Amino acid sequence: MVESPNQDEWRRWIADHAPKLLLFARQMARSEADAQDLVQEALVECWQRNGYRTPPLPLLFATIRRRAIDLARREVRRMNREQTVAVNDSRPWFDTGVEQREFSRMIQAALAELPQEQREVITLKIWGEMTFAEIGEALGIPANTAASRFRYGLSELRKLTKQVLT
Amino acid sequence: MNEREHEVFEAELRRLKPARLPDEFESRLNATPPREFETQQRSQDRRSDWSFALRWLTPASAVAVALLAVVAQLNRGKNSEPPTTGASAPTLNADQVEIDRQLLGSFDAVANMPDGEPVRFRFQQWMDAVTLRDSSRGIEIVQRTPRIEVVPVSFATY
Repeated sequence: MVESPNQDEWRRWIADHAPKLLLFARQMARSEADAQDLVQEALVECWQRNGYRTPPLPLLFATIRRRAIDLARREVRRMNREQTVAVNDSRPWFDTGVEQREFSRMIQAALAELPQEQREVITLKIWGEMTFAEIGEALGIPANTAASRFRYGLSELRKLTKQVLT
Repeated sequence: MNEREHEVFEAELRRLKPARLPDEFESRLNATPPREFETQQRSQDRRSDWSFALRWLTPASAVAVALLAVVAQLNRGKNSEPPTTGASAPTLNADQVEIDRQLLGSFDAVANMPDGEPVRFRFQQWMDAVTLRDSSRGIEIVQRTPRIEVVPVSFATY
Protein backbone atom coordinates (compact mmCIF):
# COMPACT_ATOMS: atom_id res chain seq x y z
CA MET A 1 0.00 0.00 0.00
CA VAL A 2 1.47 3.34 -1.02
CA GLU A 3 1.46 5.96 1.68
CA SER A 4 0.11 9.36 0.87
CA PRO A 5 2.61 12.23 0.59
CA ASN A 6 1.09 13.77 3.70
CA GLN A 7 2.09 10.76 5.72
CA ASP A 8 5.67 10.98 4.43
CA GLU A 9 5.86 14.68 5.19
CA TRP A 10 4.46 14.07 8.60
CA ARG A 11 7.06 11.42 9.40
CA ARG A 12 9.87 13.62 8.13
CA TRP A 13 8.63 16.50 10.21
CA ILE A 14 8.42 14.29 13.29
CA ALA A 15 11.94 12.95 12.73
CA ASP A 16 13.32 16.48 12.33
CA HIS A 17 11.61 18.27 15.17
CA ALA A 18 10.04 15.93 17.70
CA PRO A 19 13.37 15.02 19.40
CA LYS A 20 13.91 18.70 20.26
CA LEU A 21 10.40 18.97 21.60
CA LEU A 22 10.79 15.85 23.69
CA LEU A 23 14.13 17.02 25.08
CA PHE A 24 12.47 20.25 26.15
CA ALA A 25 9.48 18.45 27.63
CA ARG A 26 11.68 16.03 29.54
CA GLN A 27 13.18 18.91 31.42
CA MET A 28 9.80 20.15 32.55
CA ALA A 29 7.98 16.92 33.25
CA ARG A 30 8.43 14.65 36.22
CA SER A 31 8.36 11.48 34.19
CA GLU A 32 9.07 10.24 30.69
CA ALA A 33 5.40 9.40 30.22
CA ASP A 34 4.39 12.94 31.14
CA ALA A 35 6.98 14.37 28.77
CA GLN A 36 5.69 12.31 25.85
CA ASP A 37 2.12 13.22 26.63
CA LEU A 38 3.06 16.89 26.77
CA VAL A 39 4.62 16.71 23.31
CA GLN A 40 1.71 14.88 21.75
CA GLU A 41 -0.94 17.08 23.31
CA ALA A 42 0.95 20.23 22.38
CA LEU A 43 1.25 19.04 18.78
CA VAL A 44 -2.46 18.41 18.49
CA GLU A 45 -3.38 21.69 20.15
CA CYS A 46 -1.01 23.72 17.99
CA TRP A 47 -2.27 22.14 14.76
CA GLN A 48 -5.76 23.15 15.59
CA ARG A 49 -4.72 26.66 16.61
CA ASN A 50 -2.59 27.00 13.50
CA GLY A 51 -5.35 26.06 11.06
CA TYR A 52 -4.25 22.41 10.70
CA ARG A 53 -0.84 23.36 9.43
CA THR A 54 2.54 22.55 10.88
CA PRO A 55 2.87 24.97 13.78
CA PRO A 56 5.95 27.14 14.22
CA LEU A 57 8.44 25.82 16.77
CA PRO A 58 8.19 28.80 19.15
CA LEU A 59 4.47 28.16 19.45
CA LEU A 60 5.07 24.47 20.15
CA PHE A 61 7.70 25.12 22.80
CA ALA A 62 5.47 27.71 24.44
CA THR A 63 2.55 25.28 24.46
CA ILE A 64 4.64 22.46 25.95
CA ARG A 65 5.82 24.85 28.64
CA ARG A 66 2.32 26.09 29.45
CA ARG A 67 0.96 22.56 29.61
CA ALA A 68 3.85 21.46 31.83
CA ILE A 69 3.13 24.29 34.24
CA ASP A 70 -0.56 23.41 34.27
CA LEU A 71 0.28 19.78 34.90
CA ALA A 72 2.60 20.65 37.78
CA ARG A 73 -0.04 22.87 39.34
CA ARG A 74 -2.55 20.08 39.22
CA GLU A 75 -0.27 17.73 41.07
CA VAL A 76 -0.55 18.85 44.62
CA ARG A 77 1.97 16.34 45.84
CA ARG A 78 4.69 18.12 43.97
CA MET A 79 5.91 20.84 46.26
CA ASN A 80 8.51 22.26 44.01
CA ARG A 81 8.42 22.08 40.25
CA GLU A 82 12.17 22.53 40.07
CA GLN A 83 12.48 19.00 41.39
CA THR A 84 10.17 17.53 38.82
CA VAL A 85 12.79 16.94 36.18
CA ALA A 86 12.85 13.36 35.09
CA VAL A 87 16.56 13.20 35.76
CA ASN A 88 16.34 9.80 37.36
CA ASP A 89 14.67 8.38 34.31
CA SER A 90 16.95 5.88 32.70
CA ARG A 91 16.45 7.26 29.21
CA PRO A 92 19.35 9.34 27.92
CA TRP A 93 18.49 12.82 26.68
CA PHE A 94 21.18 12.87 24.01
CA ASP A 95 22.42 10.66 21.20
CA THR A 96 26.15 10.35 21.58
CA GLY A 97 29.08 8.26 20.56
CA VAL A 98 31.02 6.24 23.08
CA GLU A 99 33.49 9.06 23.72
CA GLN A 100 30.74 11.55 24.53
CA ARG A 101 28.59 9.26 26.60
CA GLU A 102 30.06 10.31 29.92
CA PHE A 103 29.96 13.98 28.99
CA SER A 104 26.31 13.73 27.97
CA ARG A 105 25.45 12.08 31.29
CA MET A 106 27.16 14.90 33.17
CA ILE A 107 25.32 17.49 31.15
CA GLN A 108 22.02 15.75 31.70
CA ALA A 109 22.63 15.69 35.45
CA ALA A 110 23.89 19.27 35.54
CA LEU A 111 20.97 20.56 33.51
CA ALA A 112 18.59 19.12 36.06
CA GLU A 113 20.29 21.17 38.74
CA LEU A 114 19.91 24.47 36.90
CA PRO A 115 17.07 26.87 37.65
CA GLN A 116 14.33 26.20 35.16
CA GLU A 117 14.47 29.66 33.61
CA GLN A 118 18.09 29.05 32.63
CA ARG A 119 17.60 25.43 31.67
CA GLU A 120 14.80 26.16 29.23
CA VAL A 121 16.71 28.97 27.51
CA ILE A 122 19.82 26.81 27.11
CA THR A 123 17.76 23.94 25.72
CA LEU A 124 15.93 26.11 23.23
CA LYS A 125 19.09 27.92 22.11
CA ILE A 126 21.44 24.98 21.73
CA TRP A 127 19.25 22.01 20.89
CA GLY A 128 16.14 23.84 19.71
CA GLU A 129 18.34 25.91 17.37
CA MET A 130 16.27 29.00 18.00
CA THR A 131 17.26 32.63 18.00
CA PHE A 132 16.94 34.74 21.14
CA ALA A 133 14.02 36.53 19.53
CA GLU A 134 12.23 33.21 18.98
CA ILE A 135 13.05 32.09 22.49
CA GLY A 136 11.65 35.33 23.81
CA GLU A 137 8.50 34.71 21.80
CA ALA A 138 8.16 31.16 23.11
CA LEU A 139 8.74 32.07 26.76
CA GLY A 140 7.07 35.46 26.74
CA ILE A 141 10.21 37.36 27.72
CA PRO A 142 12.33 40.01 25.95
CA ALA A 143 15.10 38.69 23.70
CA ASN A 144 17.72 40.47 25.85
CA THR A 145 16.48 38.68 28.93
CA ALA A 146 16.73 35.37 27.10
CA ALA A 147 20.31 36.21 26.09
CA SER A 148 21.38 37.08 29.63
CA ARG A 149 19.72 33.98 31.06
CA PHE A 150 21.60 31.95 28.48
CA ARG A 151 24.96 33.39 29.48
CA TYR A 152 24.36 32.97 33.20
CA GLY A 153 22.97 29.50 32.64
CA LEU A 154 25.89 28.41 30.54
CA SER A 155 28.37 29.56 33.21
CA GLU A 156 26.38 27.80 35.86
CA LEU A 157 26.13 24.63 33.79
CA ARG A 158 29.86 24.56 33.33
CA LYS A 159 30.45 24.98 37.05
CA LEU A 160 28.05 22.16 37.79
CA THR A 161 29.74 19.95 35.22
CA LYS A 162 33.11 20.57 36.86
CA GLN A 163 31.64 19.69 40.24
CA VAL A 164 30.39 16.41 38.84
CA LEU A 165 33.88 15.72 37.51
CA THR A 166 35.52 16.40 40.84
CA MET B 1 34.21 32.07 32.49
CA ASN B 2 35.75 34.12 29.76
CA GLU B 3 34.47 34.51 26.22
CA ARG B 4 36.75 31.85 24.80
CA GLU B 5 35.77 29.25 27.40
CA HIS B 6 32.17 30.19 26.85
CA GLU B 7 32.42 29.50 23.11
CA VAL B 8 34.29 26.23 23.57
CA PHE B 9 31.78 24.96 26.09
CA GLU B 10 28.87 26.00 23.87
CA ALA B 11 30.45 24.14 20.94
CA GLU B 12 30.81 21.02 23.08
CA LEU B 13 27.17 21.20 24.02
CA ARG B 14 26.16 21.62 20.38
CA ARG B 15 27.91 18.37 19.54
CA LEU B 16 25.37 16.59 21.69
CA LYS B 17 22.24 15.84 19.70
CA PRO B 18 18.78 15.34 21.20
CA ALA B 19 18.10 11.65 21.55
CA ARG B 20 15.98 9.92 18.96
CA LEU B 21 12.41 9.40 19.93
CA PRO B 22 11.69 6.15 21.75
CA ASP B 23 10.32 3.72 19.19
CA GLU B 24 6.95 3.33 20.78
CA PHE B 25 6.51 7.09 21.08
CA GLU B 26 7.58 7.66 17.48
CA SER B 27 5.08 5.05 16.36
CA ARG B 28 2.42 6.77 18.39
CA LEU B 29 3.09 10.13 16.79
CA ASN B 30 3.43 8.69 13.30
CA ALA B 31 0.22 6.74 13.63
CA THR B 32 -1.92 9.70 14.46
CA PRO B 33 -1.22 12.55 12.11
CA PRO B 34 -4.06 15.02 11.84
CA ARG B 35 -6.27 14.29 8.89
CA GLU B 36 -5.71 17.71 7.41
CA PHE B 37 -1.99 17.77 8.00
CA GLU B 38 -0.03 19.85 5.58
CA THR B 39 3.40 21.31 5.91
CA GLN B 40 3.87 25.00 6.25
CA GLN B 41 5.89 24.91 3.10
CA ARG B 42 2.98 23.56 1.13
CA SER B 43 0.71 26.07 2.75
CA GLN B 44 3.08 28.88 1.87
CA ASP B 45 3.29 27.58 -1.69
CA ARG B 46 -0.46 27.58 -1.85
CA ARG B 47 -0.59 31.10 -0.48
CA SER B 48 1.97 32.27 -3.01
CA ASP B 49 0.00 30.53 -5.78
CA TRP B 50 -3.04 32.44 -4.67
CA SER B 51 -1.23 35.73 -4.50
CA PHE B 52 0.18 35.08 -7.98
CA ALA B 53 -3.28 34.31 -9.29
CA LEU B 54 -4.76 37.32 -7.55
CA ARG B 55 -2.10 39.53 -9.07
CA TRP B 56 -3.54 38.63 -12.48
CA LEU B 57 -7.13 38.10 -11.52
CA THR B 58 -7.64 41.55 -10.04
CA PRO B 59 -6.83 43.62 -13.13
CA ALA B 60 -8.35 40.97 -15.39
CA SER B 61 -11.59 41.16 -13.44
CA ALA B 62 -11.62 44.95 -13.70
CA VAL B 63 -11.14 44.75 -17.47
CA ALA B 64 -13.84 42.10 -17.77
CA VAL B 65 -16.30 44.21 -15.78
CA ALA B 66 -15.53 47.25 -17.92
CA LEU B 67 -16.05 45.22 -21.11
CA LEU B 68 -19.33 43.88 -19.81
CA ALA B 69 -20.47 47.39 -18.99
CA VAL B 70 -19.61 48.60 -22.49
CA VAL B 71 -21.37 45.66 -24.13
CA ALA B 72 -24.42 46.16 -21.93
CA GLN B 73 -24.48 49.86 -22.80
CA LEU B 74 -24.27 49.08 -26.52
CA ASN B 75 -27.07 46.55 -26.27
CA ARG B 76 -29.21 49.03 -24.37
CA GLY B 77 -28.59 51.62 -27.08
CA LYS B 78 -29.65 49.16 -29.76
CA ASN B 79 -32.75 48.16 -27.87
CA SER B 80 -33.80 51.74 -27.24
CA GLU B 81 -33.68 52.68 -30.90
CA PRO B 82 -37.18 53.02 -32.32
CA PRO B 83 -38.06 50.13 -34.57
CA THR B 84 -37.96 51.13 -38.17
CA THR B 85 -39.86 48.17 -39.45
CA GLY B 86 -42.28 45.72 -38.06
CA ALA B 87 -45.94 44.97 -38.10
CA SER B 88 -46.74 46.80 -34.94
CA ALA B 89 -44.75 49.95 -35.73
CA PRO B 90 -46.98 52.76 -36.99
CA THR B 91 -45.81 54.21 -40.28
CA LEU B 92 -46.26 57.82 -41.35
CA ASN B 93 -47.32 58.55 -44.92
CA ALA B 94 -46.40 62.19 -45.26
CA ASP B 95 -48.40 63.49 -48.17
CA GLN B 96 -47.45 67.14 -47.48
CA VAL B 97 -43.99 68.40 -46.62
CA GLU B 98 -43.25 72.06 -45.94
CA ILE B 99 -39.82 73.56 -45.39
CA ASP B 100 -39.70 77.02 -43.93
CA ARG B 101 -37.00 79.44 -42.87
CA GLN B 102 -37.73 82.31 -40.58
CA LEU B 103 -35.22 85.09 -39.91
CA LEU B 104 -35.34 85.88 -36.24
CA GLY B 105 -32.63 88.51 -36.08
CA SER B 106 -29.61 90.02 -37.78
CA PHE B 107 -26.76 92.25 -36.75
CA ASP B 108 -23.37 93.31 -38.05
CA ALA B 109 -19.96 93.45 -36.37
CA VAL B 110 -16.61 94.82 -37.54
CA ALA B 111 -13.24 93.18 -36.88
CA ASN B 112 -9.71 93.81 -38.14
CA MET B 113 -7.78 91.09 -39.97
CA PRO B 114 -4.07 90.54 -39.04
CA ASP B 115 -2.98 92.71 -41.94
CA GLY B 116 -5.14 95.51 -40.60
CA GLU B 117 -7.92 95.26 -43.18
CA PRO B 118 -11.32 95.81 -41.58
CA VAL B 119 -13.89 93.08 -42.19
CA ARG B 120 -17.56 93.22 -41.47
CA PHE B 121 -19.38 90.09 -40.26
CA ARG B 122 -23.06 89.65 -40.58
CA PHE B 123 -24.75 87.50 -37.96
CA GLN B 124 -28.14 86.08 -38.81
CA GLN B 125 -30.30 83.95 -36.56
CA TRP B 126 -32.64 81.63 -38.38
CA MET B 127 -35.29 79.13 -37.39
CA ASP B 128 -35.60 76.29 -39.86
CA ALA B 129 -38.88 74.40 -39.76
CA VAL B 130 -39.90 71.16 -41.47
CA THR B 131 -43.57 70.21 -41.37
CA LEU B 132 -44.79 66.70 -42.28
CA ARG B 133 -48.51 66.05 -42.65
CA ASP B 134 -50.31 62.71 -42.94
CA SER B 135 -53.73 63.86 -44.00
CA SER B 136 -55.21 60.36 -43.98
CA ARG B 137 -54.52 60.01 -40.29
CA GLY B 138 -54.65 63.69 -39.41
CA ILE B 139 -51.09 63.82 -38.10
CA GLU B 140 -48.85 66.85 -38.34
CA ILE B 141 -45.21 66.75 -37.25
CA VAL B 142 -43.19 69.93 -37.04
CA GLN B 143 -39.45 69.92 -36.42
CA ARG B 144 -37.83 73.30 -35.72
CA THR B 145 -34.05 73.82 -35.66
CA PRO B 146 -32.44 77.12 -34.67
CA ARG B 147 -29.44 78.12 -36.74
CA ILE B 148 -26.92 80.97 -36.63
CA GLU B 149 -25.27 82.08 -39.81
CA VAL B 150 -22.11 84.20 -39.82
CA VAL B 151 -21.11 85.70 -43.15
CA PRO B 152 -18.00 87.83 -43.65
CA VAL B 153 -18.63 90.74 -45.91
CA SER B 154 -15.81 92.89 -47.21
CA PHE B 155 -16.30 96.60 -47.07
CA ALA B 156 -15.93 96.75 -50.82
CA THR B 157 -18.83 94.37 -51.28
CA TYR B 158 -20.79 96.02 -48.58
